[in-house]
Amino acid sequence: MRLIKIMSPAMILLFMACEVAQLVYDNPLDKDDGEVPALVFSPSTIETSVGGSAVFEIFAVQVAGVSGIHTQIAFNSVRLGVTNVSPGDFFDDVNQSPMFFTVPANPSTAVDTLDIYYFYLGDGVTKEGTGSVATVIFNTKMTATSSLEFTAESEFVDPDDIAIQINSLGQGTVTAQ
Amino acid sequence: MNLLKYLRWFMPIIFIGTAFSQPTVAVLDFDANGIPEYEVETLVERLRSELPNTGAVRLVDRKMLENILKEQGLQQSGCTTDECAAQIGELLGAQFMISGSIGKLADTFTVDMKMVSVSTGAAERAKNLTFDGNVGGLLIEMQILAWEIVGEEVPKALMIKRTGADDSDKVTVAVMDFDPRGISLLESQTLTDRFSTEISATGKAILVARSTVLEVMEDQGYETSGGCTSEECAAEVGALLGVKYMINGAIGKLGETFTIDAKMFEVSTGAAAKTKNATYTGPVDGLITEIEILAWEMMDAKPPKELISKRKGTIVTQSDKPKTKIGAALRSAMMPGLGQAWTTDYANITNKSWYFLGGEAALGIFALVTYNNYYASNNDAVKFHQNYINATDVTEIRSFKETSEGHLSDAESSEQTMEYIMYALGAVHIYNIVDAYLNGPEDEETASVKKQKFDLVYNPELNQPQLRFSIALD
Repeated sequence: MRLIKIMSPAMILLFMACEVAQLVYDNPLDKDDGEVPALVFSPSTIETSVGGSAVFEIFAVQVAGVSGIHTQIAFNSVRLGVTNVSPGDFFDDVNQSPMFFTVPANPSTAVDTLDIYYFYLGDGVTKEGTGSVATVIFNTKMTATSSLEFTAESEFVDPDDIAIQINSLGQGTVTAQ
Repeated sequence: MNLLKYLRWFMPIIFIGTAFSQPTVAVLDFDANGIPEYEVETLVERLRSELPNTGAVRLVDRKMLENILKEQGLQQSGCTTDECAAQIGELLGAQFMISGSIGKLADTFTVDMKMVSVSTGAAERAKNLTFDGNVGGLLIEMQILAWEIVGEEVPKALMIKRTGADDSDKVTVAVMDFDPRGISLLESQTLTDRFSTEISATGKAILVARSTVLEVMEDQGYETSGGCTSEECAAEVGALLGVKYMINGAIGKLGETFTIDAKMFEVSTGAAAKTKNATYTGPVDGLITEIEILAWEMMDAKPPKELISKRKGTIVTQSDKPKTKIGAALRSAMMPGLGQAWTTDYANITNKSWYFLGGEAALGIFALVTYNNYYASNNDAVKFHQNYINATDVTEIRSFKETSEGHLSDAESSEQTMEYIMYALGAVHIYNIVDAYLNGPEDEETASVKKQKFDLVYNPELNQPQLRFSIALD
């Protein structure tokens, strides 16, 4: 009798507790065929505290015959600052080290840009597939949600410096609370 | 034969003669002092309706009184003197006129009335009353005054009603002496007295004094000791006392074991409201405690701790509440098939009980297994989704996504299955409850009404018991 008294509410609770998880499959590297090659931020969203860091990795997704990458990231320099930029492992090669340098834009304007150049020198060496281009660490300056965008200046090029069409450019978001 | 023939002729004459030997009385509207007139009219109307019940007077119709006043161009309220009342009484052919006033001073009501002789113009009898309380309580007071103004003794039922007027949440109860079986009459009476005292101590009942019960029994020609043991007799006495419930029972002795059986039944319907019995083995003085505890239980009250602590010997108390369809349904609601088994006193548990129990248990187990599947799949889906989010390798990303989506699909499927099982379980459970109700025990009250076509009931309008004939239409 006591078992029934316990079981009945338990069954009702059990039924009410059933709720299938609502999952969103939005990995920025998970691109459809029509969207590649792509340039994306991973992760696409970071939440941090004011003064905290937001570490984004920039990925070239499913690109073929590429030997040079130029990314230009636009961000709000009032809200965010660039702490560090380090090269990724996409262009690692046994024969030669790739060139990697960054050019921060004039910080006098509110919208700042960060240019990253990553390429092989001559020799016809190319890469294909998906790989990390660079890791960028931003620091937040105030409570706000800031977006990071690749500008139209970003490009993939082949050994002959001919641009490879980019079909989608990802976006990043930093929320400082 | 000749005697019967004469009686047939003379009976109506005797009846008419008796009726006309009663003096006629008319009641004028009372003056209202500080109280709304409609309230006074209601109270006087209660006085008028009670007067014929006294059997001491015949009441002049109110319509006739109004017609006479109209013809004479008088208003009832304008006729306040004894002379005026006597004058109207003369025109009505009444022998007595009752007039008076009802007033209110702060929270206190006052009623003053007098009965004036039409022939002499003198006040025959005067009564007054001061009443603290709700105006509704005056209704019973007016009924009592009706008896007092005509010089008749107020019925006990009315006096009990007066006592209970302020205790509307209490029920009126009278206790008949318990029937002694194997013990002496004196012992039985002593135990009944203790039982009555405790009934009163519960604070849940207004108890009619034993002396009043005995008085009514005497009036009805019953022997006061052991002369009224049947339920019919108790119901008749209860009706005359004007109580809602009567309690009777028996105290017996079998060897060293004492038995107490008590039954409380409703006077108006004769239906058992509660039955209690106890079997006690131990010293005789412990029996007093047991009967006292039984009194509390009978009134659905928790016996005081000091009473419980006085308990001696071994006691087995049993409450025989009548089985009902609702009781069966409630039991089946708690446990499938239990109501059906309870209906048959668990002696002859039908297959149906087992089917309900087994069916619901099987569905419950099936639901639990499905829930386990759902739980595991859902957890796996979440786990692989997290891997998918964190992965940077395209092959891994695709693999994690496919696996997570697969588990999610399984979880959704399990949830759907569980929903169907729950609907099935609910349907079986409701069917089980309905079945228990429909095939449940017949209510005692319904059964008794169906069984007996004739029964003795108390008619509150006539203020007396009457024999009722009823036919069940179902």
